[in-house]
Amino acid sequence: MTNKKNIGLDFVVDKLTNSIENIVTGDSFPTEISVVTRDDLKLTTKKNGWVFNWLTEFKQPEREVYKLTIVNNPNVIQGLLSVQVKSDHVYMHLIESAPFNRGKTKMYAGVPGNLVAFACKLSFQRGHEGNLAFISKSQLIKHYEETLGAIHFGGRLMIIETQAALKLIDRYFKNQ
Amino acid sequence: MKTRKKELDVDFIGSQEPLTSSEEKALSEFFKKKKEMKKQKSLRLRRTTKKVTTEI
Repeated sequence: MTNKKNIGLDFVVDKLTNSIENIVTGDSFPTEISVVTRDDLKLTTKKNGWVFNWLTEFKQPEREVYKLTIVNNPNVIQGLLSVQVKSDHVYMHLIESAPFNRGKTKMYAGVPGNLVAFACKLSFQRGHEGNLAFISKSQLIKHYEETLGAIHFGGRLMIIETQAALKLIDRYFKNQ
Repeated sequence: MKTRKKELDVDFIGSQEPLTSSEEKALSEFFKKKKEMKKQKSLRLRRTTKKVTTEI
């Protein structure tokens, strides 16, 4: 089974471009990213399986919290993102996939990738040339280097610079 | 033949712990330096272009 289709041009649109992929059926669902409201966060609680306290993120005025949802299904949050626009880059505080999108039994693939690409896009929109920073667990540094083109900055810090950001945006937001 | 790109496969990224002041400082200095280098490069390019234009 292939998860991509060559559309005849010099790039590949795969099932994760503006979309997430149902792991079981292989079907692709178009997604959108929008600002989270306080109402949205009523369901993203620890009781409902979310690990991080998203209300804390939401309450910090310098941070922006976004949700990834499937088009025409805005009430089911597939993943959340918290970022802060700094003076010369965007700092990605947190990404969390919804409880049903985690581990080996996840329902959809592509949630974190779409959210990272969105953070890169935001960095360009805010005049920071796609520059993005985040912290990583030491065992995931190599994975982020390979999948995101991120650079290990030192310690637990990782950065995504302009070229890598462009590649991610190109992959996940091809037609925007 | 193109191969499938390796997909980001994590459930979480980041942490709710704040950056330390030295981490903040290191990032800020890095991006500041990067911005300055880019600015200098574009200034150099502009000067070269102007010189070439003048010579023609």
